[in-house]
Amino acid sequence: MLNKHHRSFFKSLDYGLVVILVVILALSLLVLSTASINVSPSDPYHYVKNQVIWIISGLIIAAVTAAIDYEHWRKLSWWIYGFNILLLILVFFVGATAKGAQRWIPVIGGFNIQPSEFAKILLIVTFAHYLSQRRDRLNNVKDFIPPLIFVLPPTLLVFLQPDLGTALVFGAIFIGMMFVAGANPWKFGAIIIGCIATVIGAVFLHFAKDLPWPLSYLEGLPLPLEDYQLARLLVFIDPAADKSGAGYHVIQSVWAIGSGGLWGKGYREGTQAQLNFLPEHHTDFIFSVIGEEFGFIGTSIVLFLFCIFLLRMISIAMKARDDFGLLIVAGFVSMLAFHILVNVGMASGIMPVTGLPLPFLTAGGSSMWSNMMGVGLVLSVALRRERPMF
Amino acid sequence: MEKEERRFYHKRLKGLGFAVVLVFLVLVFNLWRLQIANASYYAELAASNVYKTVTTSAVRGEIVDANGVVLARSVPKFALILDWTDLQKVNKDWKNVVAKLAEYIKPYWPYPNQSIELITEDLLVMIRNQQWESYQPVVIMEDIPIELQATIAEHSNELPGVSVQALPVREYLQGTLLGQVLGYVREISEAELEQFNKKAEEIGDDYRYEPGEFVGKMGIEKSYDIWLRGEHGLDVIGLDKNARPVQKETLKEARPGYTIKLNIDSELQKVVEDELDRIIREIEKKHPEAKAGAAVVLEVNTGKVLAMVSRPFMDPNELIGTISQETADKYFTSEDAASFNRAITGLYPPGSTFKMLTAVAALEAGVVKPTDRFNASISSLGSGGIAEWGGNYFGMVDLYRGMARSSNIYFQIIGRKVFEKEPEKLRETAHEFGLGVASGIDIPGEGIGIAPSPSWKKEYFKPYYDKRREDKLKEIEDKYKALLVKAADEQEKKKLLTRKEQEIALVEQDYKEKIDFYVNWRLFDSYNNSIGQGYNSYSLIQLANYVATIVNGGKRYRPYLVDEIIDPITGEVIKKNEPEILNEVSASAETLEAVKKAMAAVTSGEGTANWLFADTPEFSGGGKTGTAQLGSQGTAREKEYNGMFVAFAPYDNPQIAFAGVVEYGGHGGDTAGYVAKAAFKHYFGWK
Repeated sequence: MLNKHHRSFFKSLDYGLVVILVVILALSLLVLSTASINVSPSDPYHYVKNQVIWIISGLIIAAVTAAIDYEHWRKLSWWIYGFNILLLILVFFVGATAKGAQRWIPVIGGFNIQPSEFAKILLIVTFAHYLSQRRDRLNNVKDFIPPLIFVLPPTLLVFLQPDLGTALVFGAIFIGMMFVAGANPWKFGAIIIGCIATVIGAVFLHFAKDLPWPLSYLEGLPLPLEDYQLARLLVFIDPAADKSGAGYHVIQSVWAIGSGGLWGKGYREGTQAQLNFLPEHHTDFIFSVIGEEFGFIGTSIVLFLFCIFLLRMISIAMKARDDFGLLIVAGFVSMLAFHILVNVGMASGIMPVTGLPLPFLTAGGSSMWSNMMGVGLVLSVALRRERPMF
Repeated sequence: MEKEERRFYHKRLKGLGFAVVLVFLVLVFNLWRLQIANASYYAELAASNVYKTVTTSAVRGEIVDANGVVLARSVPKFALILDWTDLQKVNKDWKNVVAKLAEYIKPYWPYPNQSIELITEDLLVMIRNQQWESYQPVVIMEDIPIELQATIAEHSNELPGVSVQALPVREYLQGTLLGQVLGYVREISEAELEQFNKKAEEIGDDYRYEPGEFVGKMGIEKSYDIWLRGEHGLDVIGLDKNARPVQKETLKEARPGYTIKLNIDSELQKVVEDELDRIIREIEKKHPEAKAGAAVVLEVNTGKVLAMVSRPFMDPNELIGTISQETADKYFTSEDAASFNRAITGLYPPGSTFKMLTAVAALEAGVVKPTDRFNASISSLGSGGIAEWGGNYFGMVDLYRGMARSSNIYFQIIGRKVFEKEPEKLRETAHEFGLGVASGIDIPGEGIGIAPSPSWKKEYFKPYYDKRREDKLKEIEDKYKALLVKAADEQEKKKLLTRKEQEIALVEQDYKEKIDFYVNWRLFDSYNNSIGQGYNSYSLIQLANYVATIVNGGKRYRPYLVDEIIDPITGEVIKKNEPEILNEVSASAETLEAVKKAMAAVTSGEGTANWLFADTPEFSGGGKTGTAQLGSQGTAREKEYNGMFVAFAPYDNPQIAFAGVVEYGGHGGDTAGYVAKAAFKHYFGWK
């Protein structure tokens, strides 16, 4: 049985997706070898070596996940949901604080894991299961409420860590999956736009001054956001307002990308990153290094690879055996697309700074593993695709 | 899955795919905007972020004497440097590090009474002053002793950012020798920085002075600064976001300054200095206030300055770095300020050393022949005449005896004749011989002096009395205008007007008297001027050059100190100063010969300095003693005299000329005369 299973695994593997992934991973090592060279002076290749470990272990995780029939998760769906909530609560008790947020759980061996990274994948699987049971019941506004209640607990927990970025990813997953699952596009779209407008309005009122009566009562509207999150929002509106603080990141990143031009300054020749003007250039702002050293050619290639990677997954979804598998893929695509949009948008100055990693490229274990888990799930769906009958 | 269901999902997945493509298009469009459309704009911004071009200073050139003896050079000294970015980065509590540093340097701090707290305060101020260019280190102390270097090295781990670096410091190897001529260097002031760079821009000079740079403030250091300073190098320094240099590239190496070679012979200079010092010490025994003097030795056929001395002496080394109030007083503010170069800046009444000029003017005006004899009696002069020294009577006197005995009466007689015939002749002749005009010497600060004449006197004093008269008249006018308005009746008005007339008449009377006495040329003016008293005042360099012009056949050369400017690396002569004739005098060769002969009579026969060269038979030449009253008649310094002496040698084909002054030196012959003798003995190699 194992033998037969093996054969069909390699025979049916979606090599297209795997090849694109391998190219992206190879690029990630190349980029990291220039981006992280000046981060730990005692060992210039520290981050590259770690990333190799993450990639190999991640590929194993992907293979294992792919090998397991995703249908198994359907049965465990509610257990997984509970486990997810538990993990996110655990962060509040044993979490390590980094940059004003409790996001990390220390594990043996000096590594920390970031439960919110895995929470995304766990949410996708459980929400796919939930939606597959609610087919044809997404036509009215009233129908939108139960799915919202389903995603609300994990989202709130992440938001309270506080991890605004991941909470927004949950939102993106929710929107993407709801749409694919069949939510009435007009009604659903209207609500989403309404929500976004409300949030923007609330932020505006929070900072507003000298409004005419009666709006003046709403000036300084309290928001459930931390100071640094508000600072980042403000900076997004006007980066020059805080050149040395949060705005500094955005300005330096835009200068780095812009100064790269068409061909870039060359491998390890980027002054912005190599001279430390660009902060977090091996993690959140790694895309700026690509822009600076490899130019528009480099950024286009990376974005093109991501684009065909996502489109390939959508085509896998189209051939999925059932709506559960299809929705898992749709959720993962939504998640990755949102990550890329926000991360690249942030680096190039059109999105606020939220600290979302660029999938597969940002140095770091948790996000690599969770993304690999997602890839494994997609491959699992592809392996068990509905084959045309001849 | 049902077919219909699948079709529905396909539609939705296509929608998702469409959204994904849209996201990528937005991102790529934005990247195109940044990296293609505005690439050069951002490239400029990023470059401005990273690179600072920093000028590196050049080693200042040397000053050497005619034989290559080094007088001034720049040598590396060990300076205590604080790199405040290092300091701040390593330790958040950096102020404690500064306090600790203050503790270590306290024993070596220039102000020994300053507490550690106050030193800390000073250091913090230095750091703060530098913060606008924090990539440049702060110099805490220049030239620190070896013990402090050791202390700093020992505690280096407690003192992040503190280091000892070699910086070039100016050193004047011969100490006080030639002090005022060499001048000194100090850090450029803010006002100079602006002024110099503005001037450089105007004349198209590429050199720009940098804050903290050392510039010449006086003497050769100042006038030859553009040659001595060299050229800045240019480094491009890559900085990280904490302004710490991480890479360096030299665009242009700094070019060291050129070597300035002087005409001065430091041996001769030393001889002249030592002799002048000896004389001053002698005089100090009688006149404790006597401290000052000066001397110049010139080459008569070129204008080269072979020695130039000014006392009290100046040691340029004392003016480097932090100077105490005491030092500042000594050099700049005291009555006998040592930085004052008496050889060019000091203006002295020439006294009898002026008599050759009177002789030239009289012979040229044709009012007298060298052999014409006059009775040297005060009765020959009438009222206003000045008697002979010590009440002597010399009998019948011609030019040679008059000069030899320094007969005041003879020169008053011939001077008066000149003024009567050509009132401006004496002044014009003086100017031809360089008296009362700039000598053009190649160091700054020379005094011009005054060669008086009737037109000069009028021009100089008349405006003052004119203004005084006008002011008084206006005062009267205003006063009576007010009174007349208030006047009760016609009678009172009339009375007032009469009083006004009277007052005006008084003012006019006073004006006329003042003009007559102080503005119009009077007989006593002629007498005073003929013997170098009165308003006459000249610098020593002018007097030396005047003697040189008499004995070299009437060519007035520009006196100059610098012979050559040499590239220290290649040895190539960049510039050579050539002798420059400023003008040739109109006096005939016979006249000059007669005056020269008269000067020779001073140092021989019955001359006033006949004893001076009695023990040096090799001597031939001439001289003239001078005694100038320090104060005018009736003042406390009436009896005080500056001793002046001018001379040349040898008689045939003269080589060098001398002028010297010793304040409170009485007779010039037995004071400044000895200095001339010492100079000649050394120059000609007499025993």
